[in-house]
Amino acid sequence: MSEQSTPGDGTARSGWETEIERTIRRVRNIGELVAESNEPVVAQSPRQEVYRKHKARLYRYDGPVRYGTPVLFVPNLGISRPTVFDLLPRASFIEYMVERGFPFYLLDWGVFGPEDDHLTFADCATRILPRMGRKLLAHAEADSCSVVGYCMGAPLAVSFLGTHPDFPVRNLVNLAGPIDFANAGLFGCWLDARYFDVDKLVDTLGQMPAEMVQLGFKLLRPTMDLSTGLNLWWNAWNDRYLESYKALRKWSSEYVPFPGEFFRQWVRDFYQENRLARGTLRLNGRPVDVNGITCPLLVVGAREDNIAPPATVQALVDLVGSRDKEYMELPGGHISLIAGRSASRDCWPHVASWLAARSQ
Amino acid sequence: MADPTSAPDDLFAMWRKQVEAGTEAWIKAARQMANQGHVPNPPDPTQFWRQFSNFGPPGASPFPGTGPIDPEVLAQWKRFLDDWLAAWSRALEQVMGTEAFAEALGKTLDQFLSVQAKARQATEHATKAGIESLGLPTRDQVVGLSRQMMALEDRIESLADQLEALGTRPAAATATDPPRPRRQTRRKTAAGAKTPKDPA
Repeated sequence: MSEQSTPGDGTARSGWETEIERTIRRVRNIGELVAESNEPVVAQSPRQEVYRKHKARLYRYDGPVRYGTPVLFVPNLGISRPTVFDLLPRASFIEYMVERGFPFYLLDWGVFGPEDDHLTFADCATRILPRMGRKLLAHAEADSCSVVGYCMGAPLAVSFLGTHPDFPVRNLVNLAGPIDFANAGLFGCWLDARYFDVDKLVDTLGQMPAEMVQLGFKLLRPTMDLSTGLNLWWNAWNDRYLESYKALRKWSSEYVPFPGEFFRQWVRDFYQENRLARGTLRLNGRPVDVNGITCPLLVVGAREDNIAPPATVQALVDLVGSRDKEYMELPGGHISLIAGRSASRDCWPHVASWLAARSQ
Repeated sequence: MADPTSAPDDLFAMWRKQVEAGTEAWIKAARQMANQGHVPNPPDPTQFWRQFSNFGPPGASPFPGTGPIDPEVLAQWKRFLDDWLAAWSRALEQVMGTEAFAEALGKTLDQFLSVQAKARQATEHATKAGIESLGLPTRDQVVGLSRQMMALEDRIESLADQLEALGTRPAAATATDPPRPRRQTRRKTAAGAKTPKDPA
């Protein structure tokens, strides 16, 4: 189709036929999309709840076990639900890892209400995560586990391991998790202490509401909705694309608020004072010793990531005391490491093979 | 009795059937014409737009060449729009990454929070009075109750941990500590008589 065709050429005719067919299917599918009231079913992988603490849940996914070292997956807290990691069958990071034989545990932080406003970053890193880790080890009957952190889950996991050097961690994986906030992109600029009064926000609103989280992310890429609309029109003839689109739209429309004190600590200690990278972070009286982390480390950054720019992610490699460490940078944005075609092609296989080699 | 929700579904199904039937008919007609060689040259819908798009830098036009167009032109249009949006995105990112923008954003948020603080205070005061007059628990009371339950959960968990630790301790204790002498207690019978001492 890329060849220039002459007038009346059969290739051009069949090309136009295809295009007309597609356009009609586009109209039909978008009509269905607008009229359809059924929500797509996401997060279908079978799982069981192992443990719960307040809003947080620890889930174990059912599947064949080939490796003795279980995986604790720590996603972001607030912002969005962890359904994106198990979006649809054959398009799910969790399903991928489970099928490869990893005993896979997901920590779901839950959806926070005003009763959780007092929950701090320190509570999550030094109270909830260690307990989740112990429950996982007991449930899996394992003596160590791998920890995989995505987005904010990575600094949470690093803070947990940095304050609990006795926790038996076998491997650590950081997927697009910001560590050094010296150049944290647009968020770093907007949350600068000179312009952003986090105390006033938390004291006034109690929490960081989901609507404001959504506004912040929309502002980060104002043309995103137009791009999404354009791509939807272009690909609307393709039923498989539409299925993924619907699931992703469901996930991306469910924003989750931050507990107030968590947000205050997150902005002040990380974005404004960059304490984790500077080595001055203390959580509930314990110093966070990142250099004390000596297990094998894999860090994956995304080249066009404007939420956690690659440099903020890569910094972990230089901060840990590990000898076996690797940094990999992939094309795409923040989500493209965890969902979509490029994730299943480039990111997941590498993470799985890296862990497999260190999980026997 | 008919299901009231089925009417829109039926209409939608009917509309979809119509579209599908129409599609089939158009495709059939197009194929028949193509087979008979009666297809006129494809129209050139870009003819009007070329005069504007040719003002841009060489090679930037989404309508290369002249004459009847290839369906590939639609893909070119898509790429053109993608690039255009990406360029806008980069330009906006540059503007939004400046200190002036951050300062303006901060000031806007500050103003919003100042208004919000007063509005929330007034609303909460009025709502609280209304709810209390109805004898219902206020938001603060419900939140307080929820926090109490969470604190209770923590205490129960802490007790469970201590019990678990106690459960594992005796095994270690018997291995290292000497046996403690049993304390003799005097118990009274129901009649008040003293129980005989344990001969051991």
